[in-house]
Amino acid sequence: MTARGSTPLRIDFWNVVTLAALAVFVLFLVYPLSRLLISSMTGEGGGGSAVLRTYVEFFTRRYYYETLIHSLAVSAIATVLATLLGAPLAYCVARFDIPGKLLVRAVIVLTFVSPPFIGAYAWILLIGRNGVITGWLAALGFELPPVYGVNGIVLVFTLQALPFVFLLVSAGLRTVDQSIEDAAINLGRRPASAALTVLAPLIAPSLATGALLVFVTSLSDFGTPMIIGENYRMLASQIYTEFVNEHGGNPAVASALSLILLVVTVGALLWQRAWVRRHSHGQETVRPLAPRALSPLARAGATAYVYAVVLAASLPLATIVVSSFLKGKGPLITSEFTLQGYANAIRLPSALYNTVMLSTVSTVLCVAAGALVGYVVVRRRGRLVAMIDTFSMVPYAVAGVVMGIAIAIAYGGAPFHLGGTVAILVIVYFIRRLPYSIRSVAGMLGQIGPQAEEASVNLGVPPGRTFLRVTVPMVMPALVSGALLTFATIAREFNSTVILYSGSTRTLPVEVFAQVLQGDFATASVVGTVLIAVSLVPIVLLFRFLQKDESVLV
Amino acid sequence: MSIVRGGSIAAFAAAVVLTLAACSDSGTSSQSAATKALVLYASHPTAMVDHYVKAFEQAYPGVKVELITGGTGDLLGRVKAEKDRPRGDVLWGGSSTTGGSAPEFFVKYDSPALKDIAKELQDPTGYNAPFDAFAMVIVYNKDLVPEAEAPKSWADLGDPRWKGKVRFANPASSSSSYAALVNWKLIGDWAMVERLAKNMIIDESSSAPFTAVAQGEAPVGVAYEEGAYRVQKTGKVNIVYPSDGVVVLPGGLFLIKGGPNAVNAKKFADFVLSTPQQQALVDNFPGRRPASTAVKFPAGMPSVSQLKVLAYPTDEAKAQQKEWLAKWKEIMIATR
Repeated sequence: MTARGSTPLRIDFWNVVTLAALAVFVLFLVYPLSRLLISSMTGEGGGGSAVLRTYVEFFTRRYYYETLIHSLAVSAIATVLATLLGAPLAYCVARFDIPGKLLVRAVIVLTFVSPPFIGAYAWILLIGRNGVITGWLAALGFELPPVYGVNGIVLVFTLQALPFVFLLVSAGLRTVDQSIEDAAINLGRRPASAALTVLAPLIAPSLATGALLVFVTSLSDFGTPMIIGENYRMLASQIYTEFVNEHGGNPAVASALSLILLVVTVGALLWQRAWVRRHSHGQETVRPLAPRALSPLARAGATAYVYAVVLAASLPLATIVVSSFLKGKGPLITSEFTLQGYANAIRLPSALYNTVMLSTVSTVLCVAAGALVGYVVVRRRGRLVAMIDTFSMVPYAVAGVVMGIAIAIAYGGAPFHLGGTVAILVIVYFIRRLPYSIRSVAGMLGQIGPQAEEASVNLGVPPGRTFLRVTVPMVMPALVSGALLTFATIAREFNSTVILYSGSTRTLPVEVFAQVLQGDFATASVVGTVLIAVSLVPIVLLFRFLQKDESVLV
Repeated sequence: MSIVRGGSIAAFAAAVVLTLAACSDSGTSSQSAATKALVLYASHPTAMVDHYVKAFEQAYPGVKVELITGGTGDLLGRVKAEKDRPRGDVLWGGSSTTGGSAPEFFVKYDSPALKDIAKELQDPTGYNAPFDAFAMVIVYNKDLVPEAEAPKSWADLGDPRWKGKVRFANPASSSSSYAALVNWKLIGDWAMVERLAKNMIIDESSSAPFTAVAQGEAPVGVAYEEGAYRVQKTGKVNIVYPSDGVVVLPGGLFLIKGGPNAVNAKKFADFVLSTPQQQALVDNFPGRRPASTAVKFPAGMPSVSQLKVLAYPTDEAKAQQKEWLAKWKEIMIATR
């Protein structure tokens, strides 16, 4: 358990695990990202002087650099709006007696597990040029601004990101002690003013983490702008289009754009971490914040606010589920009830099988590796462990499309030839979700002292067996909830899947997207509803049988 | 632990030899071996693909079709990316230029069924198995565009009043869109293309434009013929055969070089070109121009003699595809 800086590495169980963990990150993170970098500099006809040609092209042609400006602007606006809507939502639910809180929480979790871009086509069905609500309003003489373009993208990003802000602010509020608010009120602050001037700074780190997640998720989502953006082009969608059109040709442009997106997201992560370090307050929570009574009028206002936001956030999901039971007439959806859609979606069974199979395999690998690496990160010391710790932060900031392209370049062709196989999808899911597994195990182990393990080793049990017999049972709760969460997030994973799938490994999110692009909204809704159900099962298990609440999601 | 007798050793050895033979066979010279699968890369709408997959599996009960769908450009990209280890057998979709633009990835096939296929649709280079033919047309939504104001020609779509209102699939990922691009170039060279490009909203699927028009989400779109007829059934859409001229292209169906199930690939080509299946095309999928001359021409569709048909410059469109798409991208960069 002590630093062994200069002594040579001995071959014991944990040294092997440490080296293996390092090998995993080098193979599946460092190597692919390096190949991406090389690929971005080897454009066609590129000689020594043309190494940076694609980058020069990017920053000198409006067609390209405009996508970066659009992405930054839209993501920033969505981040601000989601924070402004989500933080008060979390505060109201945490502090006030809002009727049906359980329902509110359930709906927010539901929107959290729904796949990206699903909101985009649902909003077209609702408030598109020929949308349901557009029709109702037109009958009343109102005209909605077009949902296409930047308006729609901001709307979808804001609402699909709300859960991040809600969950993180709720978690932040749980760490605030009641005595702080009491002190502020005793000094003459009104409760609302105390919330803004005293509580808000205390939960600033949680807010910042939520904002970062919103920002990075919005930057990474290319399905939404492709569906609802019309001519409003963003960086992630440009990457996807360039890669798909040059697939098998020369992915230099897609690689260069990917690296630019990577720099932006990693930059956002580093900046956020530095900011949090300067603004975090060490707190002891003895007495958590107590619910506060409100006047009937204020309570009605708070309830109305909570329900309005939750309704807006859940409307896309409701639309998809409802329209999955409606009859399609060509590309139009009628108001006739039918179950035929489920029978007609002929690729649904195989997509469902692929999703469940891939999610299960990847989850098992993630959780097993996460337990071992989580142990190493918490219990071991040394330069190698520090490197592993750093590497395990990187996937948080790599957009799915970027990771997908990097893995496609590194493993799709010679010499590995994994393109289109189950293995390549498992690799990308594994490396994208591993950090979450590591963190959940590390979080739990950090709270448990090493005494039990040391006693076991001192009694002569080898380290490997000690880990299985002593450590694993102790962190079992973290492993199980981590596994369920990993399953739910892999099942809805779209951004990297769509780069790497083949006909035989098509998953539910890919099938929804393909149907939306083809304009078959009826089938898209059927597949989307099944996908929502699949992502929901592990969450229900988590809440019902492990007595968890939504705080485990962040 | 177990008693191994002579007989079982012989059986085991025989099994090994057979397995090895089967492996080497499917690995190298699959042309001669009958396999149990067919990997179909198809970019056509699912309804028609599913119909023919089902019919083919019924006609050849031992063969299971594995279907991979996507845009034509996307699927062609897959074929190129897999050139060292082909995984697909047939690329079905797009036009005769699709595979013609990359002949090194496909094999020639002189199907016996070609005898009934219209001469002008047959591929002189021998790669394409022309399953159907199509023109590119304009569709508009009747609720959003009064008939009097509807565009009559391609040139009309260049009018500033259609700015941001015309949906068009990316010609880099859709071969039918590429045909439209060539069509415009024939009428007014790049100046014409640029004038139209200014007004376009670019989609990544060739079904998206006419679907959006039918849904009332877009007023006007550029569509391949069959898609236009499919959405015409909603009653919301009118089809315009532009007065300044249309091109009529053979649809594409190519056998992938080195594919794992070469025998079944040929069977599939013969199957869809056969007279009964060509008749099934006319009967079930209005808007498809059959390639066979042995079937009844669909009613309600103008024949080539009723249209102003521009001769499609097949060879040039194939040879120049890369340059022309690069030029299109330049225009996109300049007009966005």
